[in-house]
Amino acid sequence: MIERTRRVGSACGRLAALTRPRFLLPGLLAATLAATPLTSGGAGAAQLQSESPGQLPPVRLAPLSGPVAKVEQLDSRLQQLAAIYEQQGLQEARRFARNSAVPLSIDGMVRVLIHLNATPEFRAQQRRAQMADEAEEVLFEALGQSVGQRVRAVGGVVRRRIRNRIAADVPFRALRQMEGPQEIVWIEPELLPRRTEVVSQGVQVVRADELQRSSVAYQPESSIRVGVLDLGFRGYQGLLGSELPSSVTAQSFSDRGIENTGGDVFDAVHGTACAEIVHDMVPEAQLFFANFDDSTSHLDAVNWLIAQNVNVISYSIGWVNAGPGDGRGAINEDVQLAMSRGITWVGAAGNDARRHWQGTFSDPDGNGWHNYAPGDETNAIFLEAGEQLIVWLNWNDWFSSDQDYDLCILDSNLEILFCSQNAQTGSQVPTEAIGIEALVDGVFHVAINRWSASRDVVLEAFFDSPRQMQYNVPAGSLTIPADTEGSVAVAATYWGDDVIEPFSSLGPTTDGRIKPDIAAPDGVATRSYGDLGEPRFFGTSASTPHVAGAVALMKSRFGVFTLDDIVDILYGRALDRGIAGKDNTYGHGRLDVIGR
Amino acid sequence: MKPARALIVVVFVVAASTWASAALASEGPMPQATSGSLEDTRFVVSGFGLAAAAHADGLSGGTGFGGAVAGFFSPVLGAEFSVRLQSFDVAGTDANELSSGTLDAIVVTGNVVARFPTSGKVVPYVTGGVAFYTSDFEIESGLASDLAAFNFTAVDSVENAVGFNAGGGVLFALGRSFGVFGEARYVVASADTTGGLSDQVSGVTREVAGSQKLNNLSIGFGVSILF
Repeated sequence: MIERTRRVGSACGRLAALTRPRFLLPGLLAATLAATPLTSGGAGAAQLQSESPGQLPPVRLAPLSGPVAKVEQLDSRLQQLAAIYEQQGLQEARRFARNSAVPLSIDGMVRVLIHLNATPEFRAQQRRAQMADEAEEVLFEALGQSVGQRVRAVGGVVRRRIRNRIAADVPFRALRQMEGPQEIVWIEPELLPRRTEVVSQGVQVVRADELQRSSVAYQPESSIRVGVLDLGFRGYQGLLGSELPSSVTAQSFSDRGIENTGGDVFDAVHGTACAEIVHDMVPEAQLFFANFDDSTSHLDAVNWLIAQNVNVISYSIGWVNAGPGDGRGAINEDVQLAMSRGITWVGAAGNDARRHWQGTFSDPDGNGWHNYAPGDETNAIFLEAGEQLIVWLNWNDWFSSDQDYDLCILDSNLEILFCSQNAQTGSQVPTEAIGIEALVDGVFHVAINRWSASRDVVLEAFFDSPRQMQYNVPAGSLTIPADTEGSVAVAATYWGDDVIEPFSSLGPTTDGRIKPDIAAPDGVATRSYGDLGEPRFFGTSASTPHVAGAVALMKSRFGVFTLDDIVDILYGRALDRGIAGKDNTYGHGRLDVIGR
Repeated sequence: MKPARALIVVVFVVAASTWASAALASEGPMPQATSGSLEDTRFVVSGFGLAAAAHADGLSGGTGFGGAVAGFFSPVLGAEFSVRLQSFDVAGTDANELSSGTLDAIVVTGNVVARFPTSGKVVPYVTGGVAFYTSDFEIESGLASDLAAFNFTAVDSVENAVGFNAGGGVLFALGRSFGVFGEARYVVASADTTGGLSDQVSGVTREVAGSQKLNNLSIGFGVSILF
């Protein structure tokens, strides 16, 4: 077993542990790994690539030890980011931010969410009686003013407040200065959306072309409006009149503009590709584009689409660590807001069936580490040099947790590289997140530690990596907000054979509802991705606009039906696949506009 | 128009008129005219064809035919029952919530008739009373088949309606027991309608309620048998 010691930050917020070699900066990491014989790493890598998980030797870890004080107000990644900035400078801090999915603003500040506290007396009162929303809003406005002043005092920018959350940009040097005020209960990196596609005839497969060619209509809707909510719409203007309608209405809620200038190129064209499919499905629809950066601008974008009176929203985006997976959470609330205004929300189920793990915490030997299998305390994954791994962990103790669990990534020698050690003392969300970039080929290990908890929670982890991890549980891999009750969650079937894509996320939701709701084709051609050398658009991202377009097409032709009627009609007409009836893989089946 | 329904209505009208004639006959002798003029007739049975001009949004056409029986209990006043079969073209509107199609209506009227005796063989008359509509609505056959191709069925229907009718005409005697007539009659009625679609695969059905005015001015010409 490998001995290690660890100290974490005191209540004053200083992370002494960050001075220890364990929390290696990427530069030092490279030196360490270079000293490790590549053959062992290579052999381990070859093992993980070629053998089944059951054939890998089990891994045992030594218990963590050391002082138990944690920083309660600052997310573990922000703590480490601050320390790296202080010790290594801005460049290394930015690298860490990128590897750990900590978003930065265009002008280089850290984008954070500040969760407001209230006085202990208020919180006790709130628990005793249901406080009216209006009174609560007045209180949060006052708290927000106070916290906003602090943000500005340290050189930061307040972007906006939504109830008890303040979105702000804070300079690296000022991260630790945000700790302390009682008005703040938790500061975390802003939540980030993930596009749900693995970049790659749908219209014909679902027989929408037959309806398009026919002139049949019954009380047709003269003006059908579809909103596409995404990360970027690069190049859309060049497609007007061909792959897109001759004109669209677009509004950006992103600092990078409607084309996501400077952002990841595949993120930037994602919305355009989705819009192409919507237009293919329902050429007569008016299209409305809105893009956003994060959970805060997300609400602005949704409100704008509501104001445009769209009938349907096509949403090929997924989130993790944004809620308990039972339909609740900030992003889910945005979806519910749109649906309350009569909008049909069609969203991707996610592409995480092969990147998902979940299980109940199990520690038979009492050393604090979760056992993925008897005697095996890590979930291993091989990475080539340059590949990234980000792991997102959450557990079933939303939204204020007192069950403290931590997440660590270890190298092939089982040395801890980074740990996410957020405090969960009753006010913080039950999440951890950590990321690395491999500088050399090697096997890395993901481990979960119980820091302080009174029960064994149900853990859930998402692995953002091009590689398959050792232990994978596809069930329950739905991303947020596909879990929202009443929304339409879409799975992906390959257009050529109607078989579910192996990455298409599965249900059920954590409260036991069957999801996804329907499946639709992927692997289809788009101009946007074709121009990037990706002839096929794969993923639930591609499937979702087929369903959104089908809803809009049916509504435009058969306006007598309500949107809910049309969703039920499409569910009824879906070609049943998989096990009979609605299931957690295909939902009601593969989309078919005509039915039998 | 369902033949069975038309037959039932016609039988009803005949039975009613038979009862009316029996009742009138029991009232005793009428003053006998010495010249055998039209005012002496007690019963008039008529058959006619008509063309109507619809006077309502979404409605057009209105051709048809019908029959009537009138019984007079005085030289001037009488009662009339008529049955007319009319066919209208319907266009879908926001008010009627229907799709395009054909409305076949059976209109039964029960009227008071007042005739104005003259010394010649021409009798003008006016009439007014109630009108009862019972209708069958069928969407355009092309639309029906198009909908069926996509597994939809229209569930459009027009409900029964009660209204009023009023008009007038002139009867020309061509012999002792035979005449021809021409009349104009305006009918006012409004029927509740239901438009909608039913999905044959999922079973989802959506109906929306509407209304359709049936107002029309009909011009009829026919022959009468005088008793």
